Amino acid sequence: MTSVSPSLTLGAGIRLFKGTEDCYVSTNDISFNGLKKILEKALDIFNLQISDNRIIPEINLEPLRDYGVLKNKNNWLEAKPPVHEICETLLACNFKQQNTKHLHSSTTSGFRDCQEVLVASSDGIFARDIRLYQSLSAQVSCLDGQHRASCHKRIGDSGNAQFYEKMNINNLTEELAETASNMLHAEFVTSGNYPVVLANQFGGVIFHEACGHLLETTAVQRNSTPFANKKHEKIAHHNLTAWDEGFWENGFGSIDMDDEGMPSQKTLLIENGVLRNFLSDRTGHLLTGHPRTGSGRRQNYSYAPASRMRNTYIAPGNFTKEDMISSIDHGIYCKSLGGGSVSSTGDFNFAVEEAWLIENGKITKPVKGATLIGQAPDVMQKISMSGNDLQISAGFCGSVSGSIYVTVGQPHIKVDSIAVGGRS
Amino acid sequence: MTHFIATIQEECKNISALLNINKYDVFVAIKEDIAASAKDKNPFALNASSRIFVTLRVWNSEGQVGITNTSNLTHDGLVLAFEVALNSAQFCNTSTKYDFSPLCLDPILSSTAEIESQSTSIQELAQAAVECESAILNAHASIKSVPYNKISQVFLEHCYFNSLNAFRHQKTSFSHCYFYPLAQEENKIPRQLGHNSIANNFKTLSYLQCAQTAIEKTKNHLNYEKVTTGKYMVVFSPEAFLDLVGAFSNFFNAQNILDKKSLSTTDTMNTQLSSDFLNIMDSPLHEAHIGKSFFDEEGTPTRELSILENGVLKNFIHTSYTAQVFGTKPTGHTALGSKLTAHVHFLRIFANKDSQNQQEPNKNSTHIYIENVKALHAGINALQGSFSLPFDGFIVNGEKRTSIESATIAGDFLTLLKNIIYVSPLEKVTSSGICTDIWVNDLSVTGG
Repeated sequence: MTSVSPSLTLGAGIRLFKGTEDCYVSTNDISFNGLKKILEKALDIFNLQISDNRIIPEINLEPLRDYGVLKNKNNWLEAKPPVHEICETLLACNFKQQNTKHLHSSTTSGFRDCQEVLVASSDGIFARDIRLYQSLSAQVSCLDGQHRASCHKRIGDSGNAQFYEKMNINNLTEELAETASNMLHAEFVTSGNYPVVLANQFGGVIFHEACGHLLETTAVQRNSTPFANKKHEKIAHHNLTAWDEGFWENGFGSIDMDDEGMPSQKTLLIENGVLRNFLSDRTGHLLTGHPRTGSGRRQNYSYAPASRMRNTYIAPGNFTKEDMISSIDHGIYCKSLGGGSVSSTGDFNFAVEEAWLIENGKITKPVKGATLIGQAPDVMQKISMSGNDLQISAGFCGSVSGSIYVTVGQPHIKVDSIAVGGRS
Repeated sequence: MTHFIATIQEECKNISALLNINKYDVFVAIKEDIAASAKDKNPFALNASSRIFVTLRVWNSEGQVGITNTSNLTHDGLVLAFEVALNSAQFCNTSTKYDFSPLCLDPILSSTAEIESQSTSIQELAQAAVECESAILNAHASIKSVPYNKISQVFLEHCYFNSLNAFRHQKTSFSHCYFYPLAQEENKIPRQLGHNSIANNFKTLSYLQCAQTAIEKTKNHLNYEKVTTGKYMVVFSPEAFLDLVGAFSNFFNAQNILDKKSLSTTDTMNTQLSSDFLNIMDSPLHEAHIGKSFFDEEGTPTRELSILENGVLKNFIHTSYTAQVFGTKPTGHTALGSKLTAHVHFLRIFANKDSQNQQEPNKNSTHIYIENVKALHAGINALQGSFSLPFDGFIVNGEKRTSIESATIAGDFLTLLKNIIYVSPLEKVTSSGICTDIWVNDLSVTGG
């Protein structure tokens, strides 16, 4: 063990709305004086003052909606395993990775994040939630002469105190060893436009980045999405349907309520290629008119909530992986994706951690150094086949309201043509 | 806040005595910030925050160290933090011997170094943001919005103390702004370029000039062409090259070397990593460095450190722990996170003017100028040494500069260092360091 590092965070924030304007002030001093100070600061921003020196306005809060009680979560903190058991799991995982051929280094890290969230607002919302997120991340780096390869995999879930006890570290370490071994001596991919098959599970990051972010009202209100005025219009291939679910049992992005106290919802984003809904929070609703979807999320009290994704996935279709591979003469199979990003212009890029060449309808040899590059509106029209093997994966998403836990997911999908950046 | 720090110091002393902790150290970070943006010529996203974080390390009777950070600064909160740190110490690897920095009692430039700061209201920031956004929106018909814009003012106070009675304290401030307009002309793809500026405080922040630069950059890219995929001579702008070196800083980071997460090993020291006309140093106290720190999070004074000298690797950046392992002194680069890590402060990358090997390239030959690289978190594999990054840039052909529609640049960082053919003598100060234009041969560019 190189470190065990607890972090204890406590704080509060207040958001004021004046018309469609809002401001947010936060502090980690939650004493009466600390809270009074941020209230006064927020009022001062709008040139307002507390009338008649009253601190508590006359609002009728609903009876506390306590998801700790309603969902029987209050015992999670007691039920979770002690730190030394987590350490044993990490050490066991790291030990198994020693079997990786040409291993240079391996790291396994785990975390557990317990949050208690309380929301009160002047429209009467008064709600409490308890959240438990746990994750394990493993990374191997292999070295053979001048050849280097590194790959990593993360698993994670929420609301499952027994996460570490139930995980299968054998699968994780074997997959990593296989990927590293495949990529170590692989040739660099030749740049160009290819038909591509993206694997299920973490392959869903492409939809998350290339489309999901552009369907958040945070992007609509900043005029930074090409889909702003496309509701009820066809924005994707007719074979594509996509959802963002607020609650998926043990999903890494699951929440019972959002950070504005609204119960989470299952939101249909795209139905057979037609844009059906945006993900909206309170500010997004005020500024764009799109109805709230229980998507107001943030890393912690130091950020104002913003519309963010939760468990986002492309719905399964009728095709098999083999259908897709066999339909391609010369293309790329992206078995494992790394991170990605999208800009306001809709340009996106993704690193491919493990890629294979498809030749004459068959997966042949590994290639490395591939990056998928494209324009979101363009690539959405080119997702022509969705497989029948939907799987989800845990991830982190960084945006205006900090880093939050999300699920990405998809079945195998085929993109008819996409630019692949390489080195030769 | 000085009184507050004295209170925390006293609390820590009492709590450690109560828990029989004889050895501890504490880093306190206090941050007060205000920020404003503009949208459709109105104030938008007005934010203020006041935060204090305490990171503490305690040593147990076996010499193992535990680390915890907390934002709960009540008496009970601090007691809990000490208890949790003490409990986590038992998991510390017994073969890893952490200690205080041997330099934590050395004199620094000023033990209570203070940088002059002036208070600003959030309304002033909002007014300035609206002024800048309006100027940008009025500058060109193609610019319909400025999705990312912000002006902020930040006050920081840092303090380090330990059970040896070492005490460091400093205040600093900076004001920062950025503007990224979104432009779109009919039948063309949208374009977004931007600029950011930093100063010690809002009164000296050139926000209008920053907005003007963002306008010019955006206009320069309105007319674009596709670039043919292939190998090119490439010129990195100072900003782009600093980003790249920062992303691969594991090659001079001693902790990464110990973790086998570096492109270097201990044997790499004193080897030639690049052509002999490249110098890299970390200059935390450079006068152009806004928000400079006089000590790191272990209380070690910061100082100038030569990293690459005439292309030869001369020093690693060290924490007190890695310095002890490597038999040297800590360099003032420690950050206390989940474990001790080292990070650079303010890189200065410049030409070795004495080199006889450097010849100015023919600037009229076809090359690609990279204005900025993007999506580093996705396109960098720091352990493999590989990168594949989208960029904004130009195809330069003689006097003609044409914006590139969309493209990525890919390669291997260590090979790139070897392939540097020219380091311009003209140094440019940026918000993250000082650098020059860097010419590199034979890099792969993929057109979109």
